Amino acid sequence: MLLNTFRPAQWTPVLGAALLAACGLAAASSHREAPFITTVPKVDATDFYMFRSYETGRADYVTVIANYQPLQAAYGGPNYFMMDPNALYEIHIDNDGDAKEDLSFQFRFKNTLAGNGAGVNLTIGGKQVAIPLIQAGIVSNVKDAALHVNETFTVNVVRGDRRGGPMQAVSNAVGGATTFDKPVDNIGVKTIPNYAAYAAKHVYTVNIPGCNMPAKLFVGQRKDPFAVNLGTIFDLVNAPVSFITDSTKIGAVPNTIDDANVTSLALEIHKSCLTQGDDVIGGWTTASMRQARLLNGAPGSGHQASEKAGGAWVQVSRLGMPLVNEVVIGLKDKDKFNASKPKDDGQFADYVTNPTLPALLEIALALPNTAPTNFPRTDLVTAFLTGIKGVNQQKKVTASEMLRLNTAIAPVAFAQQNRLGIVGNILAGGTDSAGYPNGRRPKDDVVDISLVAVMGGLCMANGNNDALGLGVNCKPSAVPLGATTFKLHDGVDQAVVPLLPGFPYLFTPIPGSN
Amino acid sequence: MTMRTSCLLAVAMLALAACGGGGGDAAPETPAPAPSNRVPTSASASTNALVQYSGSLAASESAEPLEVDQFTPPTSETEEPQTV
Repeated sequence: MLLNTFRPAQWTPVLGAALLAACGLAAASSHREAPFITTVPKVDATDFYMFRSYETGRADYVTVIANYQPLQAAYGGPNYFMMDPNALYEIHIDNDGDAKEDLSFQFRFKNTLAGNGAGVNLTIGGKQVAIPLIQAGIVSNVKDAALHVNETFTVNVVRGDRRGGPMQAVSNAVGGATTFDKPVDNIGVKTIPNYAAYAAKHVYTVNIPGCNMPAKLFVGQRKDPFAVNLGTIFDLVNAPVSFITDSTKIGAVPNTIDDANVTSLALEIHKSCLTQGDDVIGGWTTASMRQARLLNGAPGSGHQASEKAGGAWVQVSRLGMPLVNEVVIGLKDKDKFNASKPKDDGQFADYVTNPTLPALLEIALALPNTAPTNFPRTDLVTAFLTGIKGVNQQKKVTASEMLRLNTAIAPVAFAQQNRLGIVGNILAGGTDSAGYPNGRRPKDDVVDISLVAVMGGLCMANGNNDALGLGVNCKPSAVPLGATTFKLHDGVDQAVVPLLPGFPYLFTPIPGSN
Repeated sequence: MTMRTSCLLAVAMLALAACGGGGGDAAPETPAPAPSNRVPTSASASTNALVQYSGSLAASESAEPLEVDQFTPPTSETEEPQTV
């Protein structure tokens, strides 16, 4: 093995963690990954999941989850983490392989002070005075009387072009309302003694126009499901190589962001609503802001009264496959990527066919000749841009970056899911073909999987006979690390992150106080 | 000419200037309006107008913020962003 020729003392940083450090990987698969998005965290997409529901009885449904607003400290009061009422959050589906959206679910938010805008006041010395907090007592119900501000949202479905296609409102299957309530964030156990039960009251059964089966909808704060070894990474990756190639150490390090929350937009939709003549669908999420914003130097009383926004929607965040803008796209093009559409991804092709990450590792670690040598990297093109033929490639495929899910592949019960997805399933000779990059489940360890892939693991699996159709040059002789590639990990195990057994799958958020 | 006389003469001249030069039958000129610190109505005519106006705002280290209370920005759900 190549690694055995180096003395451990020469390896000051950990290979896999250095990979993450070199890419500036932060607390989610795509968090603060571009210069502009760091200035507007409310529209910063952090993770996108898409998988066939594995909850008993829900196998014919597809769960899509788009997470926003990274690194929420549970104690982040008094305003916590409402979504931006001047933003447009979307989840897009391409079901015919032309790299253009065919379905878009559009989320808009609104914050309203209680009492039709009057707010919650107390009588102090004979005067009505507004309270400074977002709650005035214990909260346990939807539209609770103790809430000083209510956050609501609407969901529209657009078919065809997201700006030009017909738009229809998603409605509550009970009563037909088109405005939904978002639960207040998990302020703490005194304000909300049973947050799990409180949040569960905000899971809606909804009707989506054009779909035959009702769906489920939830928007609210969740415990961040992403797990990563952050501290060690940024401390010059302070771990020996023997550690990150030791499979017994995959969960040896605490998850640095175990105490962070995130906001989730979650839908569980019958697969018949998403597909159109092809079992494979592509998905991604975007967030947009109004093109013009005027700040008010003398805002009146109200909620978020400091700005007036106008103009068209400008996309500022984009996320399909995890880690793309984090570790694939060059720094100078990260803002461009966030504003781009999948149909125009040809402009980013070099970042995939000729990735810099393995070469950065060679430079940063002084480890020459460890990067795969098959150029162009057809294995990465397959993983990120087209899907794997016979697994998650659409009948008509247009090379473009998005998460692709084969809705014909049955889901696997949580306990039997392979944390390394397709790669792990191949290695284990197992029966779990429902994992990343065939969609993405919360349990899939995308950091380890991506590390294995970028350092040549797919070419190892492709073998000398192009078994996976990744290209004839994508073979073991092009992978200097050889079988050691499969052992790479960052020391944090994604598979042990707590989750719910069913929709919305992501766990109850960390409370602001215990 | 005494100082007092000179001053009175200067004031008189200013008054005549304000009246358009002394013609007793000429209508008084309308004074120039004071500069507005409000976003002009024209900026709400269209999203393009708004973007053009926003782009025309020069950075300033000393100006006071524009008054926007009475301004309603135009929005569009269908237009593509303007090129800036």
